[in-house]
Amino acid sequence: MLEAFIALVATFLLAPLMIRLGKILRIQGVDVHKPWRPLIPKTGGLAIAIGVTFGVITMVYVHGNMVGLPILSSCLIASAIGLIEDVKGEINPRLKPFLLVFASLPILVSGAFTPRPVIPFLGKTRLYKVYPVMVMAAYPIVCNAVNSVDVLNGSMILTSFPFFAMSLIIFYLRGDYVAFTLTSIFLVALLALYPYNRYPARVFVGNSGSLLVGAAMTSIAIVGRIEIAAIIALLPQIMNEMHVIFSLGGIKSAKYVEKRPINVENGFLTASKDKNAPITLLRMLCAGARVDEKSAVYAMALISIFTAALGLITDLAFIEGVM
Amino acid sequence: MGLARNLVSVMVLMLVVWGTFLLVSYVVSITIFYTLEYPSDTFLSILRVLIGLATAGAWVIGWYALTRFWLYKLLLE
Repeated sequence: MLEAFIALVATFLLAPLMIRLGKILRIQGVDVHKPWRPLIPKTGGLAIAIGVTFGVITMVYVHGNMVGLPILSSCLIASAIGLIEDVKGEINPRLKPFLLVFASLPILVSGAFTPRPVIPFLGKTRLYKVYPVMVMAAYPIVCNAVNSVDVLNGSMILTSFPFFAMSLIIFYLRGDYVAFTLTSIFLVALLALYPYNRYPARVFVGNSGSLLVGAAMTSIAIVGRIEIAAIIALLPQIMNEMHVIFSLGGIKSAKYVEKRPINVENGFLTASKDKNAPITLLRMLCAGARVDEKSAVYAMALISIFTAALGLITDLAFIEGVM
Repeated sequence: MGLARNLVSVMVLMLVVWGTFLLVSYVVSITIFYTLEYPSDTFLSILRVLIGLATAGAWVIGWYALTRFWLYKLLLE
């Protein structure tokens, strides 16, 4: 587990440097949920990107296992797209999903996938022609879904932990050491950034971080062959993104949405009652209540833990067949 | 108290979505995936794929409708 340790230490030590870099280069965003509206660097994702790069390269060097390289490449492509958004501003929301398809290329070109997913009730399938198309579609969907829950301090990290924890348990039970090690690299990198990103955040994960984590989840699900469990574990994120798109009547920039789902009063969150406001997970949690930011994040994390448990149950019962 | 109620309510929604997801994956597995695995008569194959796609599409729309109901009729009432 040297790889995971290196990723942990590298991310933790790089985070303060990235905070400074974000301030110097003015890659900052307003924390709109604080009454004093501080400017926070959006460069936390870079610390994760460099941390996992160190971890994966160590894995390749120590074990000579190359499967980490296409996963790392996918993550870095997604992270680069996110970084462009963090620096230059929002990419056209219709162009962004197309750009994120490029994150699937390292997995597809290297052949680091098995087009025989195990489907509940049917067993092992042979989707040689369809599977690559599904892989290409998966990256934009998951990356944007993970990005969509990065709304509060620490929310993206805490809602992502359960997915990686579930994956670790499945890979441990299967004895898949490679997938286990790769997953642990991403898990500890998130863990290392959390002290800086939790309430009150000193750094935002940024799009560079959330898209990287989305690409990591997709890659782990594909390479580790836990597609169904991953879909179930990511139901809150997918629901959040899908319902926002449905509420807005298509893929549109959040900037042009007049009705906000959440109102902020003295640091407390309340849900909008406007039927034209987008439906989000946070809005559902704050419905009819006055919720502080910290509690809202913990509630989001609890829902992710719940769906990750459902994903684990599904995998054990229908895929591994141990229940 | 409001947050705890909402949290439980969203978890119940997730449980319903999970249950229906398994149901839909069963329908998709005996329609679309079965056709991809064991292609037979063309008409029957097309029919199976159409039924599978319609079921999956209906599930997505149903999920959204259910969430709207959950938010506006249960949580915001």
